[in-house]
Amino acid sequence: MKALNILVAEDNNDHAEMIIDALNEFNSENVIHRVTNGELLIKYLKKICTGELSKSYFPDLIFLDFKMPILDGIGALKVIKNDDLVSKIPIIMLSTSNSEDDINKCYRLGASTYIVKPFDYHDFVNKIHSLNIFWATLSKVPPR
Amino acid sequence: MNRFYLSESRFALSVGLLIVLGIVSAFVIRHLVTQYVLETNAANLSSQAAIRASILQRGFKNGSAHTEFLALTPPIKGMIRASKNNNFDEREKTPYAFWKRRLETIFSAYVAVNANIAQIRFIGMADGGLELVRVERANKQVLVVAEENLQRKASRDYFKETQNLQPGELYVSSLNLNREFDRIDEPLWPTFRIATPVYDGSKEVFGILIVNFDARSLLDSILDSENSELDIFLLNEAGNYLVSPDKEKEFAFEYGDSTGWFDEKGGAEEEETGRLPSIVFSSNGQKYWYKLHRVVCESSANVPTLFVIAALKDSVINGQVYQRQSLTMLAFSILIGFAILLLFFYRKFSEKTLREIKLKAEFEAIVSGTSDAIVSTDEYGVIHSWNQAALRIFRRSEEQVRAKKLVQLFGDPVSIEKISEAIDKLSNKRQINNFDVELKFGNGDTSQLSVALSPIYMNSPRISGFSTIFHDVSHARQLQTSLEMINVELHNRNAEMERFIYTVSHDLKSPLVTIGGFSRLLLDSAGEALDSKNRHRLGRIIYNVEQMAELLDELLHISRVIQQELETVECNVDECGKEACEALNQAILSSDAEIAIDAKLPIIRANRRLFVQCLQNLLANAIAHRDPSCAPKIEVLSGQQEAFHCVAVKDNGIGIDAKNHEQIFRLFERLDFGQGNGVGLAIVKTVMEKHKGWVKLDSSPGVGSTFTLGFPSKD
Repeated sequence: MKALNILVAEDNNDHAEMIIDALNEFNSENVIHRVTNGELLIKYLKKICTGELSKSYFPDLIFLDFKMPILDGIGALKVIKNDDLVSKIPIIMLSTSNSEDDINKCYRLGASTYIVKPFDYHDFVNKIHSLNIFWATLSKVPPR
Repeated sequence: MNRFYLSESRFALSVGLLIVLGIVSAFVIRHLVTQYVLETNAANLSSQAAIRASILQRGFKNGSAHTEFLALTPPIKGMIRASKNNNFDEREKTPYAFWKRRLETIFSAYVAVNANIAQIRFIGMADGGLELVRVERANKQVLVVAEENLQRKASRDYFKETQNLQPGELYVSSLNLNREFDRIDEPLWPTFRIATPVYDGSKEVFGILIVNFDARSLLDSILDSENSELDIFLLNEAGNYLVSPDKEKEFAFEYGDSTGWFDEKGGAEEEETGRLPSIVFSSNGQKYWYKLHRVVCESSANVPTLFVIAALKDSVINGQVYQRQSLTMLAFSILIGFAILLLFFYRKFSEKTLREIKLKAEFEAIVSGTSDAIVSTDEYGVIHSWNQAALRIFRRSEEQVRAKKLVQLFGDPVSIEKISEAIDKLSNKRQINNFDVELKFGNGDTSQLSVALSPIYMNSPRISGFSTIFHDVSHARQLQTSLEMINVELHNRNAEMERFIYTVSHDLKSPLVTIGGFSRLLLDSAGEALDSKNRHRLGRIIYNVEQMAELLDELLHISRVIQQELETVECNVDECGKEACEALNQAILSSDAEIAIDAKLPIIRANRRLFVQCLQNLLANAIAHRDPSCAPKIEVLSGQQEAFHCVAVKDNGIGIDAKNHEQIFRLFERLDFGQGNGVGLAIVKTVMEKHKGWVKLDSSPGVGSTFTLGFPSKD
């Protein structure tokens, strides 16, 4: 299975821990970088684009939390999808909300997937694994 | 009430009185006219009778004159002298025969000349009253009667009477039909005689001179062809008719019919000046009004009494009365008719006035009673009338309003502009709508007024003024503004509320993810190291996390239901029921529940998702509150109940005590022996309220429960 460069934007440390643990568990080759809010996410991506950071850091996937301080998920989504260099990156929205409005909003803005954070950990892990499999084997990620 | 008002009853009464007056007057007029007519006719008839009497008198006088003259002719003296002297007149040396012939000639000439003389005779006393000379008219010829035909007349009345008269005295006979040899001469002709004694030189009566007059012309002369209405009667002393309008009656006494005037009713009236007596003939009922005049003859002896009567038939009198009367009556009727007409028009007028007064009073009541200001101006906008409310609303006194321009009541230029514009538009025959103006007072108070301005036309297309109604809408406006503000605030609050709920639920959910996740991780990794109790506790933590998550979801759900507008569609009850069952598939299977859907009313208008949710909640409850001794049998029924479309979920479970019926619908309420989170029914209640429907519970312990949802039907 292909190893993926995964960018996780999640302000909640506990949630971030769970996600990263699950991803590593599934494929230890996965390269995971975490940012704590949308602004830092954009900055990070910019750095890659400008060359400040190596192109090898270019993410295959972004796990984007819905609710974050400073710049939240929706805001970051908009920025990323408006930027040609990074708009192709598949974005997985993570939210506690089941609301149709939120889901609609995300898809309209160009998110690839919308995941509701489950409270059952196993459930959670299964979802992460499924996503991993999907993007690593089933679907092609855009070339870097 | 108008004191001049002529009511229907009064009008009828007046007309009635007038008519009665008319009738009474008719009688009075008739009476007066009759009196008048009788009076004038009395005078007239008197004079007529007098005239005719005088004609008769003149006739007799003439006759008398003839007789006297003839008696004095010389041949008579001659014959007297001759007869005394052996038939020879010594004085004139003339034989008797000569004088006789002379007399005959004179007599003949007289008869010839005087058409009304029928016969002249000189009758001697001697020889039994032998006629000496007789000349008569026979067949229109004058005949000297031959000696052999001379008759003796000593037995006759006239002879007897005349011979006793003094010289110069005359005898006038009564009028009779002429008889020849005691038989009535035909053709009939009335006659009278005038005779005078002839004396010889000594005071001895020699004979008589008698003239027989044909009374026809005399009698005819008293008739008047000029006045056809006038009837003339001539009566003899006994009242027998000598002249009568009824020709049969004339000289009827000669034939034995001795009925006379004085025998008739009214015929023997006393003569009174001015008064007109009347007579009614018994034979034919004919009534005459008459005046009687006695014919007076100047001759001294044997004056035959004659009565001349000038009469008018009752019908003639009536005719005159009628004529005069009708004219007067006509005039009078016209007058009364005119009076009635006047009354009629007066009544109409007073009715109209009454109506107008009433209308005016009603109008005044409206104007003074209304709380709106009503102000009237002339065509230039100068105020000429107002009501109490106007003074109150504008807070002015009468002097401050009188003769001021309407716009002067307002200080605010915007309001003045609006009003002026409105007046202009109306003056140019354009239509305007009602508009609002602001009224500002010196002390800072303001009022909002709604203005209705309309033109006044007085029977001409030209505008004669304006009528304005001001309605104080300050309060209404305030309320409106408040309402708008409240609406806005409500809207804001709602938005805030939604944001709040949203934020809270997400913020609450987030830690749950962590608690649940790590608890699970703990259990997985360190679970073996724990004792069963602690393991159980960890398990409970995990379970409760799940519960809380569900609760939060439901809470969010409810809040969204309350916030959002309800969109309804036509839901197929059967389909929705099945969908609800699918969601509860697990519970149905494990409880061995039998669910039957009998949708008598197949379609219900509702929000589909919420409807299914309700069914789901109710079915879940039904299963949860099952009777443990038997398998749950649940029915889903639908039907119409009055104005609502109803869906009921009926179970054969343990039932719910009446004292709990209200409480179970409350949020988080649960009955002791129930599962579930206590929001299911609260959600159902909220959903039904949102639909403007209701939810009802029929249940008692041991009987099972029936929850009924009532959705309003569109019709």
